[in-house]
Amino acid sequence: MNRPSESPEGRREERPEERPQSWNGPVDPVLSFPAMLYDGVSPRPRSATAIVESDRLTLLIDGVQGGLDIRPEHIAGESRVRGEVHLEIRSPSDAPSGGFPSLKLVVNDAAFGRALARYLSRSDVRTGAAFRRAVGRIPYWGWLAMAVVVAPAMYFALTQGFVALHGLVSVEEEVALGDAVYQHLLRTFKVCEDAGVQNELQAMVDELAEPHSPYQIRVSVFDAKHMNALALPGGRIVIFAGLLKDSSPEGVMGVLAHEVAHVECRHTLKQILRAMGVAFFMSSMIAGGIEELELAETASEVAGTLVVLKYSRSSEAEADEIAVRKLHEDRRSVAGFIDFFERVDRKHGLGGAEKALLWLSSHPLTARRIAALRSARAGERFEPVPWRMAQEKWNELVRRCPGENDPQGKAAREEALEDPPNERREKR
Amino acid sequence: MNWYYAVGREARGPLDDDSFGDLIRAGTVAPDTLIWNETLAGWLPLRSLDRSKSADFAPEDPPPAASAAVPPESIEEFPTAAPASPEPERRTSQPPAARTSEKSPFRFDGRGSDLLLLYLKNLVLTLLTLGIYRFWARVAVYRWVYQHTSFHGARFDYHATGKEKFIGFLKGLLLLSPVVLLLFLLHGLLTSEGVPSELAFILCLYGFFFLMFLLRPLLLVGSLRYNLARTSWSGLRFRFDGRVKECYALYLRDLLFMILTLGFYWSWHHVKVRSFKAHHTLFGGDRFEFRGSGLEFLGLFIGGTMLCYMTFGLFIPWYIAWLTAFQIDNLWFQGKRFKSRLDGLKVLQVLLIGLVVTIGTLGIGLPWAIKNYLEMYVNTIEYTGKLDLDALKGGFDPKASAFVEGIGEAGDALEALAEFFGG
Repeated sequence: MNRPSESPEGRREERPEERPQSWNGPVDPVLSFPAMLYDGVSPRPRSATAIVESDRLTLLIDGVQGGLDIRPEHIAGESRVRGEVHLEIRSPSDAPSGGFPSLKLVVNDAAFGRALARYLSRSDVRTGAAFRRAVGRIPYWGWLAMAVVVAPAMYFALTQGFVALHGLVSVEEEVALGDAVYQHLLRTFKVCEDAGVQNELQAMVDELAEPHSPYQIRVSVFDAKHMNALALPGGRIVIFAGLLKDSSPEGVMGVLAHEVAHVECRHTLKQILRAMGVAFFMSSMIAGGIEELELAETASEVAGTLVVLKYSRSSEAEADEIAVRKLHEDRRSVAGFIDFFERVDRKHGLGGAEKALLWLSSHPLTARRIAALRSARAGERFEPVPWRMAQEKWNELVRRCPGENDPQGKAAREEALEDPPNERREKR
Repeated sequence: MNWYYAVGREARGPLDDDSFGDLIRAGTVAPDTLIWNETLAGWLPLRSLDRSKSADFAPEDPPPAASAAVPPESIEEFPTAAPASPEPERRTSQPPAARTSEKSPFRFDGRGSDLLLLYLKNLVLTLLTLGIYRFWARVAVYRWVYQHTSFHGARFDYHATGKEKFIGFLKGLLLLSPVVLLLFLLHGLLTSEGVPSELAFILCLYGFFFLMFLLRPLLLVGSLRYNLARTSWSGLRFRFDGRVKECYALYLRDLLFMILTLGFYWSWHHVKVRSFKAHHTLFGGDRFEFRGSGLEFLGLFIGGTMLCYMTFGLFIPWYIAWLTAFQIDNLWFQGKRFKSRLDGLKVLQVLLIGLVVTIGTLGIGLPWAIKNYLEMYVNTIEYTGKLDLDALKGGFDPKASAFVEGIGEAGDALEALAEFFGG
C-alpha cells in the first residue's frame, strides 16, 4: 500500500509500540456514519459503517473481517437521492467475468456528502476530478443563471452560425438545389411556353440583375391562377400566370425586382440553413430525457416554425428595400409595385384578423409593405421611365398565358383565393 | 488498557477498562461508536470487536460474530463474490420486504424542483457541447426516475453511463457509415441512369428505412440486454437473456400472419413481443411472465379508440388506465401478479392539472407535471404476493454493451438528418 497522500502519522501502518507516549488520541477529525451496503448478490443490504477521515474513506462491513479502504478511483458514481447519498463503488478491474460490477453504499445523512467532498477534494488527484467537483458544486441558481444566459446566446450563435455556412455552398450547388425544387414543381404545374412573354419578362430581369452577379436569372411562367411569384435558390424565378392577369408591366417589374433581390441575397438558402440551426437549438432545448414526450416535441416544432417565419418576414422586408433601390437605379417608379400590392390586398386582405396573423405570416403584411413603398415613392426625385411596352400591348401579351389551368382542382383554387398560399418558399 | 472513543469529530479518553466498560453499559459507547486502543490498528466501531474481548465489558447488546479487527488491506479484494458471513444478519440489516403496508409497495418520491435543476443542467451542457452531452443528459434523467422509484422501501437504480452510450453511438455510426456511402453511390448511379435526382433520393432513403426495419429485432434484443444489465433493484441487477435468433423468428412468423390476416394479427404480435420481453427478463434468477391475450388486447384497443372518438377524446384518460392495467395486471413474477389501481378520473386530473400548470408557467412547471404523472403511475402499482427475497440471487451480464443500442441511435440520427434534407 503506497499512496502519495499517506501521512507520516498514518496510524494504521504504525506499530502500536512505536507510538509516542504523549500521544493522546486521534489528530485528524474522524466521522463515522451508519450505512447500508448493497452487494449485488443478495437483495438484503448489509449494515456497514463508513468512516471518513480527511485523507481516507474506510468501509467496515458487518460480518466481514477488516475494512475496505475506498480510494477515489473506486468511486464510479455519486448521487443524492432526497436526503440519501448513494455511492457506487467499482469492483476491481480483475474481477472474474460474471462478477459484480459495483457495490452500492447508501448513507442517509447529508453530512456524509460533505465529509466525502472534503475527502475527495484532498485525495482525488485524477485529471478532470477538480473540474467535475466544481461542476458538482454549482448551485441551483447558478444553473438557472447559466440557462438564462446560455440559451439565448447559443440560440444566436447557432442560427447565425448555420446561416454563415452558406459561404460553404457554391453557386453551382445552389443552382442544383434550385433545379431539384424546380423539377419537383414541374410535376404539379405546367409552364406557359410563350416566347413573347418569356422574352419580355427576361428583359426586365436582365435589367434588374446586378451587373456582376454570379447568378444567371431565368424566369418561367407557371400556368396557374395564383397571384404569386417565387425565387428558387440559384437564380430561377417562377411567376404564376394569375399575377400577370390585369397587371401593369411596372407592377410585374416591381415583383421581379423583389424576387431578384431574394436570389442575389441567397435568402432561400439562408432560410433553409437558419431552419436547421433553429431545429438543432430546439432539439437541444428538449433534450435530456424529456424528448420522448410528444408534447415537448410539438411545442418545439411550433416555436421553431414561428421563429423561421419571423426571419422570413425580415428577409421579405430586406428584399423590398433592395427592390426599391434597383428600380430607382434604373429610374423606374415603385408606383406599379404599389398598385400590385393594393390589388393583392383587395383580394386577400383580411382586415382586423390580419393583425392577429402577424406572427403566422411569412410576408410582412401588405399594408405595412405598402406604407414602406409609399414613403419610397414620395422620395422619388426623378422623371420615372415607363417600361418599353405600352399597357395595351402588355395586356394582349399576357393573355397568352391565361392561367386557366389549375392542377390543384377547384377546391384548391377557391382556397387559394380565400387564403394567400403560405408555402415557405413562396415570395410575393 | 487505554481506551479512546469518538464523539462526532472528537476523541475522548484515555479511559481504563473499568470506566470504559461503564460507558458501554450506560450506552454512551454504543455498538456503532468508534473506539481505539493501542492493540487496534485503527478506529473501529465497538461491535466489530472480538466477542471475547468485548465480553469483558459485558455489553447489554453483544456485537455480532466477527473476528478481531485486522488492519484493512488495500482494497484489491472486495468482499463481493463471497461474503464472509454465511447468513445475513437480520438484526442489523433491514430486509426490504419486512415492511408490510396496505399501500402500494411501489413508491415514487422524486421532486419537481430536482427535475427542473436536472433539466437546466442538461440544457446548459447540451447547448455548450453542441449536443454531445445529450447522451449524459438522458442517462441522468433515467437515473433520476429509477433512483426515486422504490419497491418495499428499496430503490431501483440505473447504472448506464453517458460515456458508454456515446461510444456505442459512435461505433454504431461507424458501422452504418459504409451503408450510407453505398447509398450515396447508388444515388449517383441511379441519377446517371436517368432517374430523377429526387426519386433516387427517396429510393435510397427508403432503402435505409428498410434496413433499419430489418434490424429492429436485433436492436430490440441488444437494447434490452444492455439497459436491463444496467438496471437494479436493491443492488440486484436485472438481466435479459432473449436471443436475437428467437426474436427474428418471432418477427418473421408474425409478419407472415399479419399479411395473412390483413393486419388483424397485429394485436397478437404486440402481446407476443411483450411476452418475449418479459419471459427473458430475469431478476435474481427468476423470470417475469406476461400472460395477456391478443384477443383481449384487440378488444381493448377497438373499444378504447371507439369510446375516445365517441366522446371527442374525453375517454382518453380512461383508455390510458385500461392500457396500463393490461400491461401491469398481466405481468407475473415468482408466481404472483402485479396490479394497477390506476383509474381514469385520476389520470384526467393529473393530465389536466399538468397541462394548466405547464401552460400557465410557460413550461417551467413541466417538471412538476412529469413528476406528478410518474408519481401517479408508480404509486398505483401493486404486487399481489410477498417477494421471496431468499430465492433471489444476484448476477451480472458482463457481455451486455451499448453497441447495439448505439446502432439504433445512429440510425435514428441519420434518418432525422435525411428527413430534414428530404422534407
